[in-house]
Amino acid sequence: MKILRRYPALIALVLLVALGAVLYPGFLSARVAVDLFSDGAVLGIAALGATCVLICGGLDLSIGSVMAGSSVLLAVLLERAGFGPVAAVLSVLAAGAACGLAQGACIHFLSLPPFLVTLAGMFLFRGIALSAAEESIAIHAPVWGTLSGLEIHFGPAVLRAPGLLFVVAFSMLALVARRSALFRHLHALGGDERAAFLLGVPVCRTRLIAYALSGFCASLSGVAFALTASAGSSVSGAGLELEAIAAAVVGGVALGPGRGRWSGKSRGGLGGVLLGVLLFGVIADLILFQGTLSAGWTRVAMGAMLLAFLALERLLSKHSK
Amino acid sequence: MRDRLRRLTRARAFPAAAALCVLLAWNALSEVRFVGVLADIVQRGAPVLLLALGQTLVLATGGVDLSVGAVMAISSSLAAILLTQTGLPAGAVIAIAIAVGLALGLWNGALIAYLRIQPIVATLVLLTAGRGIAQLISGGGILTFRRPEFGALANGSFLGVPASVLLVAVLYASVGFLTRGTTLGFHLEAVGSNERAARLSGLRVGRIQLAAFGLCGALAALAGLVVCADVGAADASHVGLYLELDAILAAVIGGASLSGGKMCITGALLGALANQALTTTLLLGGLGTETALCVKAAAVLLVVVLQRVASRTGEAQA
Amino acid sequence: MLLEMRGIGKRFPGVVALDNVDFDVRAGEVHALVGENGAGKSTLIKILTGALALEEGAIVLDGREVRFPDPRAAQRAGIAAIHQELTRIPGLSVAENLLLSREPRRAWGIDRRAMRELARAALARLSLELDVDQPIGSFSYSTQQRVAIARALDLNARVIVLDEPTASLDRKEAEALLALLGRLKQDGLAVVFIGHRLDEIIAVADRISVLRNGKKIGTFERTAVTKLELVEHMLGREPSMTRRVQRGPQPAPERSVLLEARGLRGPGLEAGCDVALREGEVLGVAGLLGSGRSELVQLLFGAERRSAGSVTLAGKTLAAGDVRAAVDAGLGCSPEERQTDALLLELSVRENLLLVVSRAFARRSPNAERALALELAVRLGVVCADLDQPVRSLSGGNQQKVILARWLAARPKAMLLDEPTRGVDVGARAQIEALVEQLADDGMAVLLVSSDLDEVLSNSERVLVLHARRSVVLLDVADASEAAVLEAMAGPGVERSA
Repeated sequence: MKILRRYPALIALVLLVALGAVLYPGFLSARVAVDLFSDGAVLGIAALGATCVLICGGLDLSIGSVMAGSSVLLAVLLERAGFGPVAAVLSVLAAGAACGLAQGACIHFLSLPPFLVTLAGMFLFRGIALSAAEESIAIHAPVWGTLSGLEIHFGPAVLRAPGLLFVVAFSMLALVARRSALFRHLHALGGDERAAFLLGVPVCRTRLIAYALSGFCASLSGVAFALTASAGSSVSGAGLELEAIAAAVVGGVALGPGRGRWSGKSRGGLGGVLLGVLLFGVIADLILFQGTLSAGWTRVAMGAMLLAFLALERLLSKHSK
Repeated sequence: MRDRLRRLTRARAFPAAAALCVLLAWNALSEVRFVGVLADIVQRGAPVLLLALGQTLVLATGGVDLSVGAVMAISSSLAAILLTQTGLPAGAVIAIAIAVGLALGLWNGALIAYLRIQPIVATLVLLTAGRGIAQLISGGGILTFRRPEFGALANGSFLGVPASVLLVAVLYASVGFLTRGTTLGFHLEAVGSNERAARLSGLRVGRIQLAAFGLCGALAALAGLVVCADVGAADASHVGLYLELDAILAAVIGGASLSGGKMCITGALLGALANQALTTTLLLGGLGTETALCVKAAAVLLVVVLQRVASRTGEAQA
Repeated sequence: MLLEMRGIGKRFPGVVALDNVDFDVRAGEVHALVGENGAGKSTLIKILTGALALEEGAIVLDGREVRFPDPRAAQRAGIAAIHQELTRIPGLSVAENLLLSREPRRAWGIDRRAMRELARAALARLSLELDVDQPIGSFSYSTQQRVAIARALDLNARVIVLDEPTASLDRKEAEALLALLGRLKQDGLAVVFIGHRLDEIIAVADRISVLRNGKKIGTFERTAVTKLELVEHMLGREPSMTRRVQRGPQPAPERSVLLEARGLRGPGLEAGCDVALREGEVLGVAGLLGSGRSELVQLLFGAERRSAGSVTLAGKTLAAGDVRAAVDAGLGCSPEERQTDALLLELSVRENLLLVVSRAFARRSPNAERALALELAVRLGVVCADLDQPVRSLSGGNQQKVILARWLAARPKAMLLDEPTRGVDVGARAQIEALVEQLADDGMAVLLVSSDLDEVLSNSERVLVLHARRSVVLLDVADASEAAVLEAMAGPGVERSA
């Protein structure tokens, strides 16, 4: 019961899955369920990073661009610079984290609005990615082929490489959230920056780490994209940042400073975001199974879901007063 | 003289005006068909110009509207479907599409004013759902139509002046009148400057927010119509994609502050023109969109930093 | 002496917040700090706890001079603060709040079990038993505050600073807190207590320091001072010859009632409060900080939603929490917090002057506006270089005049003035007081709230005295002695404390 109140997205998820199971034979299967992770990997990993920034009361609009830039950088390193896969991935992740860190530094030290700083980042990183390669670069390196071929079989269900990456990333971050003080400090910063400062939370360090994590996750999501598509594309990930924010909001992460108790109830946020990503995946699947509905319905349903959760948040916060 | 110069450089629209002047001068020197370039800038820039006008109103109240691109998609799909499936005259189609845009804007405004949802999140709802709605209206594909009287909205001309230039001029004048000639502009700035003080002075803050978002929605719908009239087709998936960010950028370069309370319609116009002039100049110079993006990024950062410095020195003087 | 602050000074742009203030506290004593709003208490405490930078003077702890760049450093040095506004993160659990920024660690992260146990132990010191996994926001205000105190104690602090800790507690909760302070004192801690309820101060403090306008007035042994004397020190009243006013052709009671509140109750006003404001009268409201005087204004005006009672203006009932209805009915209000509640700081003087009279979606006429703004500015004597300069650049007195002028333009029947002369220079103050008299002579009803007793007594005919968030007495200024007003403000039981 407690978990339901903590994650209303879970109720929605269960209801939608039940609906699918009743309407369409084959919907309630391990294959469909496991594919949710593989298909949602790019969005899911990006949303994990977005959540870190949202929890601390910030915003990152550059996620899509960093993701695209990372996929291009990865392809370039593998195909043209002759990097090995490990070195390439590590450099890409470091570059992503550096992008996030630079934006965080602008926001913290110059006290500029996150919206504009990360909007500039969005243009900048997309521009850099485009100038590196306008066309998508296919990755032919055999090692990469092996990597993207990695999969885990659960009977008939197959968890493909991007899904694997998502699961690993989620588990790692969830472990950090549970075990380290970092996420408590992020929550403190987002809940009441002044109080956090007075209680001795290292505000500067915490905020910089949040943005660096967001950049890191965005580039990891670029790696997931490269695993899915076996290519790096400078035009990919358009609108990813807003989808990630939407998933986080559905998952119960409240936006902006001065948030109410709701943000506290959906503590950790990461679990909620996972649910949000899965929820979006289930909606897409439902519409796919239906067969005759156009793709437009997916977005409409996502928007409706977002609105429903916002309204619910209002209701709950009014109720708790 | 020096005093006047200082005043000029302090004006909100100064960065946008300066950027535009430099870009135009560059074009005038390097391009033979300068007038053609000029017309091209306004023509291509018309949608963003319209969006920037609306965005400026919303930014003045301290809000932001991320859904204008989605509203453009809805209005152009709606117009296309009405033009192809019904015998409605072009005027009625335009009116219906703008009314729908107004309604969508009011919806955003209501979420913000009455449900007290943050503007970024509230308009995210329509941003997510809007393009889907547009796809539902249009049936998913690209709708083409041949209706010269509708196409005139973008490609026609009157006394030798291109229709899009006229349209922008008329709307600039009307929005200018609304914000300078009536108390609306003042009240928008009052709400953005200090919402609590505005409420405690008896202003109906909710209605003012509704007005800003409603107008923004209507202008976005009009921008969608211009795009769709220009190409004679509506593509629900791509019309207005990312234009919300260009519009915010134009307004911010034009002197609007994201924290609200500052509005400059002329600045927004100049900002949008500078934005388009930059893209056009770079394209003429053989440089692609990628350079334009990087320059835009630098422009945003420069403007915010300048604003920050200006507000700090302003506080120090006070 | 455990802790000494010597010659502390602090300037904000245009304001001297603290001027050469000395303050000290011994181990095993409670040293109270009292003063009106703006006296500099909170500033002093923020400097002590590292929340504000030390600019002038020195802090000496245990004979060594120390410097605190941030609150973390002060905490490490053993100075813990419980701030006026609750410092806690509502969404985090009790345990997480208690141990925030000093989480117990072990290999691979924080030790959650140790965290719970440490939290329970910290709470046990205050005999508190809570579910430490619950979000702290789900507990009552007083419990949250006790958790904050538990945190402060758990820092092994030697100096504990409490900034108005009883402001939002009810009587019983406040008593429990005061008893706790007594125990801390016995444990050898130094306690700095900032408060405005003099009964509590007298009950708990060993020494009492009074601040006024950023200066220290004096430090008194508790046994050597009465509540009445403290009030006089805080308000800075020398026995003066107050100008008493009796205005209008008829004595006040015969004039008709314009603004009437019955059983008014709401946030910050506990017992139902009755107010009857007659036309052409200035009704003063006196009370110490925290007595509910500003809350009364907010509830009358509709800025806060009243929970009970009624407010009528000229026979018309005003809807609860609806400012617009009040304005339409002819009520105006100059709020206590000018910058946050009244001024559009970035906008021009002209726009600020026209804010109330400008109708929504109406046609603007620049000439008429300029003329009206100019007329208002001249009438009130607003001094500015240019009506188009931002109102932020005006002095406090001129800002206040802009606010008054903006309401006068709308010709209200009644005005609520909350601290109209705070932070205002002497000249502007005289002008504002003259204006209030003028308005009342013209038949307007004025409610005048001020922490300056002199101002209340010299400008009003009757005085409503508030104490501890309820109205206690309505006095006729002509008949009542100052002593009577002071006594009512200080609350019952004025005898010299033992």
